[in-house]
Amino acid sequence: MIIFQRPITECGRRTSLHVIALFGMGLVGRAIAASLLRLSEWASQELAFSWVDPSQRLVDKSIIEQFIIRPADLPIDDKVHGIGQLDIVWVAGRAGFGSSQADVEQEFDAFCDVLEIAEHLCQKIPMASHAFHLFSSAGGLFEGQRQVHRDSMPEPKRPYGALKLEQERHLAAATQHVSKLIYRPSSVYGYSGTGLRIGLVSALVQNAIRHRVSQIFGEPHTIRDYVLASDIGSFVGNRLMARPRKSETFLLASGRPSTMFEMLRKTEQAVGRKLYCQFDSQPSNASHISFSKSALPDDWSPSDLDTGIRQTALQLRGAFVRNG
Amino acid sequence: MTSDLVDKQITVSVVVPVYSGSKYLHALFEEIQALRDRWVNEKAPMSLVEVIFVDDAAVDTSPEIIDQLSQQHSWVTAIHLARNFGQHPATIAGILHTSGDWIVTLDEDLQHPPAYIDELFREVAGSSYDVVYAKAESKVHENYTRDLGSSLYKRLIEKLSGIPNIRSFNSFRLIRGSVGRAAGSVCSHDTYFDVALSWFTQRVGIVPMRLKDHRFIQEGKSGYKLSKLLSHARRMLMSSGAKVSRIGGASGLLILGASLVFGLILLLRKIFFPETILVGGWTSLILAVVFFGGIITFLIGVALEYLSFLVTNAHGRPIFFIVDRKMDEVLVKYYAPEEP
Repeated sequence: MIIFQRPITECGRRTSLHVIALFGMGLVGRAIAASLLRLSEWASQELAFSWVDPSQRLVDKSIIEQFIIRPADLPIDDKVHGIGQLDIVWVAGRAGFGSSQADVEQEFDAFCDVLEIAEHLCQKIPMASHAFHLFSSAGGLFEGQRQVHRDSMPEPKRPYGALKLEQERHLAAATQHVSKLIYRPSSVYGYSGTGLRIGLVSALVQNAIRHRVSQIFGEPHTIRDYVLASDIGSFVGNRLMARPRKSETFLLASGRPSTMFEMLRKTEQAVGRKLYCQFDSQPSNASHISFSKSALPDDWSPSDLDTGIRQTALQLRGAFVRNG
Repeated sequence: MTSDLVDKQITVSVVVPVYSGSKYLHALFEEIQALRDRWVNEKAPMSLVEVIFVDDAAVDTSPEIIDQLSQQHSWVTAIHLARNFGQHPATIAGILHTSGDWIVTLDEDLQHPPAYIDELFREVAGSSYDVVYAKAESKVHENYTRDLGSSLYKRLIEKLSGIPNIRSFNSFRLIRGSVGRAAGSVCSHDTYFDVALSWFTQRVGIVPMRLKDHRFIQEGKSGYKLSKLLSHARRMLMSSGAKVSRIGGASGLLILGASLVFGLILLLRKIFFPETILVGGWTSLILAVVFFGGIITFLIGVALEYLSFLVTNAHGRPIFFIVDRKMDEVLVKYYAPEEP
């Protein structure tokens, strides 16, 4: 996890600190970090947070809390007077559509510990404006539903979706002094550097460049909704900079359903190479998911798929050149 | 039929390109809504889940109307294209925004009554088609010259392009969702959408029905001017361009063959009947011209064949495409005549 810190300036005077604790540095996490760095100047510090070992996590939790509470430890030049705004962003997650119950339980335990940090900090710094930003999953919650609109009810079909719904419920039940912002992104693609989860398009581009076979869980006509990681980064970045915040849930989808066939075709065009694909429609990952445009936030403007894929391919090719 | 198939709803998306239909849009929407409600009331297996209006840089107040409709109804989507791209690109844009099992495309001016969508589905139930076009039973424009022109134009294009059902092409169509979206996604800026559809399926049905171009009948105005029709013809021929360039290749080969035969005849005449050729050097000159002319034409033909191969590739014509027609059983059951 990483902690960002910047002074808040009012009438030309630095009055307090804005602290963001970002849990998860995957595709979306990095996009949020990049957006934050574009929006303001931040001091940052990486700290350990154990996923697998609960006893180690206890130690990590305590270190993180102490670090946040004692802003003087951070490399800020001027003197400031305490934390004015504290955001905790949970964008971590190793679980995916294919995760087992055991995998999601481990992730849920880690999430609960982070929520506990938020509640502790809320008690210890009552004067600050507190917000918890949770990254859920539109695909996990609405799997198999088409034209999902504002009033559609989540009906998870697998442990991953159930985990996301449980995380949302858990957050909703947390202390009312924390603003709760829930983001439900659809299928995220894009380039944010190398990492464990790189997203569909990046995987396809990498495989195309290396002439490898891509294994796709779904069928060519499977409908999904794709959003660019950097669009999410910008949207969340703006939310993190805004004040005051009210509890809200945002559906971050493009509202433009795309078939796998279309994705493959566009990726082939962007890379200029043939894609070799092996489709696996088992275990029933071929159900369609699409979202109605009317359910999307007003200030959310997703990039179109063509542009996003070309941009991702270009960034990945650049990365290949840089890495030799 | 498996029980989960029986319970499953067939989702339908409607796509309407909009350019100058402000006068008709409210009425069109009401008819679509009436069909949606009727399907619900009759417990039909089809469910109209979305209407997508594509504003192709409309010249009237249509954009405001479709925005208003999309704000009032969550199942209505308004898409605004950045500039006027034309009816086909607007239709493709709409199709690429759909998620229904079936897609219906229709015009903005009530020329294609939404109530007739049922008839298109009935045809699918009967023959498991992937695309069903509505075909006007009588004269659409009630104007002899206009209707004759339209018919002759379609016949000419059918001959030149070699696509058998080109005369049935109509913007009132029912398309299997997977086929429509796949065809839409391979279209380049100049690909004729119906030609692209023919790359994915040969199961094309036609339903004759009473269609009238009310706008043309009432106002004498049509969305299609001569320049637009010519542009359509050009795009249709270029999309099915393989045949046009193949004709060039074949004629090159034919000319080479003819030149060789002609050259042989001249050579034999020179050998066996030299007195018939009076000018010295004529035979060798003509032989050289005919032979090299034939070779050049043949090579141009080969180049055209390569070009046609590249054009087909550039158009994104697939090598194969897989389709799932399991859900048609639900339609067959719904439209099957009741037993006495």
